[in-house]
Amino acid sequence: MANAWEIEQLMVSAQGRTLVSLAGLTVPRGQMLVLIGPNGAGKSSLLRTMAGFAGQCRGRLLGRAIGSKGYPYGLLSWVAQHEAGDSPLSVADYLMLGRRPALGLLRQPEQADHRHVAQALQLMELTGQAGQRMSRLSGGERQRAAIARALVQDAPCLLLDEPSNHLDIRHQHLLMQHLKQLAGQGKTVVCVLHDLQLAANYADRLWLLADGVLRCDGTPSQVLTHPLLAEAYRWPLLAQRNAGQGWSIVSSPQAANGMFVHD
Amino acid sequence: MSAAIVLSRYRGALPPHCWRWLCLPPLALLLIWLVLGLGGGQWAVPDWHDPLVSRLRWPRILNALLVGSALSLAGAGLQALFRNPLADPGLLGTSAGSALGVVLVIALGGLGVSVPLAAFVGGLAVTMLILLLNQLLRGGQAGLLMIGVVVAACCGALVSLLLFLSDDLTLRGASNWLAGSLAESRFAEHQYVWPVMLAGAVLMLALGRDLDCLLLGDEVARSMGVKVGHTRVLAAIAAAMLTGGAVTLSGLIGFIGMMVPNAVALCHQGSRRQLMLHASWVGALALLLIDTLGREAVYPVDLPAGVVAAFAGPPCFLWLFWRLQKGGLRG
Repeated sequence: MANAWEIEQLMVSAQGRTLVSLAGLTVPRGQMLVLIGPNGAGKSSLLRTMAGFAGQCRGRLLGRAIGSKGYPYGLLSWVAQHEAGDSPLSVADYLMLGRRPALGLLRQPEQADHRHVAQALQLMELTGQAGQRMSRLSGGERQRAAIARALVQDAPCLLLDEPSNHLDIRHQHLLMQHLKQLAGQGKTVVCVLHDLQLAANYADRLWLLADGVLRCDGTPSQVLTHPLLAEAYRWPLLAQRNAGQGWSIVSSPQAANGMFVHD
Repeated sequence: MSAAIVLSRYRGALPPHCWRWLCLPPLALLLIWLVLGLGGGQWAVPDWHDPLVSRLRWPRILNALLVGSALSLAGAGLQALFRNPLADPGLLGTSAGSALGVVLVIALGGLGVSVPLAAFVGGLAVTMLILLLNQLLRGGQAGLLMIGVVVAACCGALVSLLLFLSDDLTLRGASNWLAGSLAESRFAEHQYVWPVMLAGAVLMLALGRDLDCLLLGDEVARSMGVKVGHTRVLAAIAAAMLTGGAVTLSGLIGFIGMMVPNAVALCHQGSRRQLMLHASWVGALALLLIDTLGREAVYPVDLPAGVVAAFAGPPCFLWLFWRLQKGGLRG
């Protein structure tokens, strides 16, 4: 199976106004797709609709029809932009909730489940906080715990809404490296990012959205061009690819005044 | 409950296994109150053949334990279901719905199995109505509480109307019962109520893991395989079974369902299922304490447990609200 998502038609509307409308799109399996665009472009709405939480989406997810048959249980892990409420659980217990699809309502966690949790704790550098109460973690640690919980779930598709929020630069890069690695192992990763540099350096594919419309779908080199970015963000932006150093994005006040500096 | 509150000062310093030790003093207290209750307020081994003990004190103690346990368990479940630490069978209208069902049946001359059945149906109907209205009005957490209070007030008005239209005998019996008294406890009622309450408790505890997921938000819960709508309905049914049973046995007793789970949550770190289990025995003990206070404080007047709980409730509510403002409580 080549594609994770085959979207025939996708629409999100609120109070009679169409927020996002897309048709005839595919997301290949084992790729990392990043949704970029200005505030209010419809990125989170699109991601939530792809997850089956909002709007209307007709198509197929991993060969299973979506849109009419309800939520595609077992196929997705989800990291929300803001997770509701404080949890009285310890970090390790919270991560164990990620095993809910495997454990069901009553089955007690077994060694394999504990191994999943230990691996995720190690990956997100939370092993030292495993016994701490979730409500005592810092914003960044909670974000890492939420990502770790999604990793514990081990679903074939991983959807993350602004996963780099609250993370320091080291953890941002560690996270993106791990997501990239997961994509390399055959998982499909779709995330929303505001940091264009992170998106450019780690995405296999970018969807640039503005005003609820997909402006461009392609590789970073195809999407991160001056006219496209400037039009979508209404701000002069310059994406540069330096040999051996990856992508960098220039958005300085000089750039705002039209003083672009090219290599 | 007070032990739990005092220990909350040391929360975080207490590893989870400490709970095993924390269970011991309350259990000892429970035993003391049992003996006191059975022995008529004296430190004496009760005479089990004494009809006063077997027909009055035992059913009363058992009812206090059952009702306190059921209300606390229902409260702990509802707080997770509504993601609101102030949720309580009394505040959200579940108790009021059960009371309306029971008063309606009493006014119509119903007896026996129809009373717990009416309490269950009334509680369930009101909980479902509140969930439905909140969904339609998109009220969120604050809206849910407001809708609950409004629906509870409507049920209260209907109960008043039914009592107004009833004859004096029914009015007096129903008024005593509505005050939340355990004085009239008899074993005869248990055969109908036990199965309902036990089924409600098993169902609520079984849903513990899904309630933990629901606390993280509907979308996260759904991504973890929780069928959110089903879980909501099942938890509402479980809460209605527990509350309906409690209301049948004792009438309306407020605040226990809200206070006990929150007091336990202050020094508890663990899953919702564990919290519900701890809240159930702490709640049993708390109501036994309240009932004994009501019986002994102004002897020979036997104050209904509901009245004592209502006096103790507001200061506890203010304390809870203060802790909530400090961000110290979770749903």
